[in-house]
Amino acid sequence: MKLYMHPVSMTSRPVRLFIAENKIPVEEVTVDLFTGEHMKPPYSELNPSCLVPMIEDGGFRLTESSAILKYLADKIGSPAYPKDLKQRAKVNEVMDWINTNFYRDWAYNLCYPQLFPNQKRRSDEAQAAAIELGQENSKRWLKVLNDYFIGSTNQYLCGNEMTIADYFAACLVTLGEVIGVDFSAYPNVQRWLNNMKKLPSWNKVNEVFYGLVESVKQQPFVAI
Amino acid sequence: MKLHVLKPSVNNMAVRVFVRAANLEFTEDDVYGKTRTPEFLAKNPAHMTPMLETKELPKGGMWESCAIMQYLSNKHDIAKFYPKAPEQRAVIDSAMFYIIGTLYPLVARATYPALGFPQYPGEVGASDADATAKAAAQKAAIAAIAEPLEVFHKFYMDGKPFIGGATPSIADIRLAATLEFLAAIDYSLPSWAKNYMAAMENSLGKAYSEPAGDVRGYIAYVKSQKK
Repeated sequence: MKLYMHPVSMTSRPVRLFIAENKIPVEEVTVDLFTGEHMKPPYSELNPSCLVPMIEDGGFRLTESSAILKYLADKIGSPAYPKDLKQRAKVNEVMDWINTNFYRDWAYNLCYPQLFPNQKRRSDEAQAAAIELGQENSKRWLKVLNDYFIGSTNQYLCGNEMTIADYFAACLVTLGEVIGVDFSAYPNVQRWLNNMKKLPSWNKVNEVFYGLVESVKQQPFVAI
Repeated sequence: MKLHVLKPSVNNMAVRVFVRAANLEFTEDDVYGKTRTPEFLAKNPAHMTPMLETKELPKGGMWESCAIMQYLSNKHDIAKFYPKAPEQRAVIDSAMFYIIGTLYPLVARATYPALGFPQYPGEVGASDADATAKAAAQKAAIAAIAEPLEVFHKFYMDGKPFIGGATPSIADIRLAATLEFLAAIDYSLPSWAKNYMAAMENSLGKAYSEPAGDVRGYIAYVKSQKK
């Protein structure tokens, strides 16, 4: 099995983390996003969306980190993706919620426009508006994450057992560390992130990510 | 002992890898933005990093990555990374001086423009020459890297996996760290060099990859800023 990824691709991180934790034999292939390798053949022919991550399992190709996590978990029979109808539905619910609600604002309105020149809005006014919207909605989503999905008693997003929803969400929520977000206003989120960071492979998988965090530490980002 | 470091720097990476690989007790202090303060200059008039601070040294501290690795190897009797026999040691020393005197200046001229680091007085890159002249100078430096690389391949390694032989030496740590900067310009390393870098990371594990992550993260950040 091959995983096409990049070490600083946020959405590659959950897949790399799950693979590392479960010691799944996978060959990691770095697709150089910075030279546009993802936008040209041969990669663009394998994945017309021109995105990472993507796995290639024999002849079977799969994109979308959420779908990849589900596939891998089922393939190895991992308890991190429960088979029980309602428990599985809850994991799916959280993963969809992260994608359709949380990450849209967190990444595309708050973090990415500040981090990446090609995501910056075209005028100062548009930029300020995007960040303002990103902040407002991120606070709303973080409150739901803190008060409802985790709450004061759960260790993880779907209860007291780690699921693929935790792998997925922890990597995407920690994107906030790049802009210096302080999670102390969301103590349950902080507690949950601390749990996730105890995973033996967390530091290794995130080495380059944390190198990026270090590199921008002094910059005056707007957080929440 | 305390290490004053700048994490995006490969000169710092070499020492950071070494202290981890050698299992030494140390603390790290990130001195980004602080190397020209009166406090720092009082200890380190060269304003250089990495800097090792320890009361045991005559002036309380020292800089120069290779000298730091040599000192710590001597002090803690680490023959594994820095052999004691004079002739074997001479080879390691020769390799390190060759890196600092010849290879690293070329790598600096080749990569600093991409990394956003200022160049040294007297270099075309640091002068008021026009952009074309500066680009030509950078290109010439890039082209010149192939020769010392091949010297490491054929002379210093000569069929062995590392300059140190079967296992990495401090010269290997210095060399591999130096080569990490080449990713900033997408330099096409020959396959033996790619295998060498992988072998270094495999051999030293987290001791290598954790400090390397800081350099690689910085390079990724710089690349992500291209519009």
